[in-house]
Amino acid sequence: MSRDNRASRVTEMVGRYAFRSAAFLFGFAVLQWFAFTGFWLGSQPIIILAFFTILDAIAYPAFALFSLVAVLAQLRPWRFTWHPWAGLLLMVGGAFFIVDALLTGFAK
Amino acid sequence: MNQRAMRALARASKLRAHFWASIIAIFSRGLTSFTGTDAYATPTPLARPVPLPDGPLIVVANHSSHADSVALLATLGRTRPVLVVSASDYWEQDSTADWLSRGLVGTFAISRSGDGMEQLRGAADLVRAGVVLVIFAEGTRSTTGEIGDFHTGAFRLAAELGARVLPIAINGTFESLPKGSTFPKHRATNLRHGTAIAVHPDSIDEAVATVRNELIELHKMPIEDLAGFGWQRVRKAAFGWAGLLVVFLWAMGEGIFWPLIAEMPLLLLVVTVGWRWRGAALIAASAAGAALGVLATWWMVKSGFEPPSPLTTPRMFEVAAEQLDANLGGAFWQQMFNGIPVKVYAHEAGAMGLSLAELGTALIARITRIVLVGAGGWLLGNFLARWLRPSLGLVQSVTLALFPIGLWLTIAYWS
Repeated sequence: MSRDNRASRVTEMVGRYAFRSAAFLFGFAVLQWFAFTGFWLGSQPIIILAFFTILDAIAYPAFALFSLVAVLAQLRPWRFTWHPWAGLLLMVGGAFFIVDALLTGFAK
Repeated sequence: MNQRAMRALARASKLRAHFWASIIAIFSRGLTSFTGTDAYATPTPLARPVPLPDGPLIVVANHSSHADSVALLATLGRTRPVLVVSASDYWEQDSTADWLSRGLVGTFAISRSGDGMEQLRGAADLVRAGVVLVIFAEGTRSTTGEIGDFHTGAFRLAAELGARVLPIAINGTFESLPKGSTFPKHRATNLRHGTAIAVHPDSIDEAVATVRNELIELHKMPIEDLAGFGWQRVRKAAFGWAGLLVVFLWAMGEGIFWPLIAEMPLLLLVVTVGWRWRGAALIAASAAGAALGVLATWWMVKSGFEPPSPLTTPRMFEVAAEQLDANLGGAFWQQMFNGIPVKVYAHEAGAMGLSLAELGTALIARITRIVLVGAGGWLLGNFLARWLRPSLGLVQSVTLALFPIGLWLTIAYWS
């Protein structure tokens, strides 16, 4: 019996969405980095920092997990598309920007 | 099926119902179930459990969208455990599809090419145990939005088990997410429950015709675009005296002792009022309350009385005093973003013995903040109304659940 190497439409769709959401979050992370390290919102924008900390703490782990699931999903059909891998890479890169932005913002 | 497995399935169904209801509340214009088949059918909003008949039950529904399963899960899953019969050739193509369908949707997969009836009998114990089995009797999604011919499997299974068949017409999903589309359009969805019927083994075809005809009739009914439960209640409060009183007292309280910000109730109410003067009245009430609260604290501290200051830290008082001393007018502007409660500034203004005229000048910043935030919410509420109408209750719950974390972060910073 030959192995079915086709990834299903569902797997491919999950990969594409993982990349799109990661790209959006990466852009969002870079914007936060510029805003908080450049003090665009003043020297102590604690309310806004708290808001973004909560938002990032929810969105980043959730979508990082989503990207990881999208990568793992390709292992079973053994058919690889670049979308979920690029998504995972963007999530890792974005996390560095977020951590630096929030640490700078909360520094006393 | 043992009781433990049944309880686990009921829990999973409830979780899926809440998950999908949240998704629907955010991405659609709302979902309303109607029980009763006449023009006066009782509407049940998405946030409330929908009544279902007792006993073994099979739901037969029309099918034109992936959103159909989701809509049924989000409503029926709150009342009883639900499984949706799905096509294994589509939903079990590989491990991802399988995981998604079993975990997120809760499917009972059967093959469309093999002996479907025999596989359907595999769900007999589940139905007897109380699981509501959803079957799309057309066997595939309609590409025209019209209801096609029915397969008889659902009815034969119902006859064998003595289960009743409940027709539910799904209206609106074809318009929002038809077969082949990727992103849902922002439309309202209605689920119209028909009359549950018993199926006799000798009259399968009759039962099929009865249910199909009822579904066709229910499917013709106009789609009603009703606001969510949360929106209706909040809007009612916003237009009553209660709304004005709450925003006024809340803002005044924040200036004296109350630890929650004045903008919380103001934003919640003002987003629902539309382009009505009530929006301006709410903002004015909040601004007046905020100013009075600050003046009250200033006067009390100046007179030697210390009002309680919960959830504040000594550093907040030090920084507020420094800022008031350095730049009286600018201090309240800095308060806009720095997370130090306004009652701390009011307290320090009293302790420093500022005059009423000096405090009045400084208060312009405080009033400006309330007016700006309130007007922003009023404006934004008009633009976002179509999204907020179905989901305001959800937005409100999530905000309230997350607010303590923000408060904790702010206090930790100023500790």
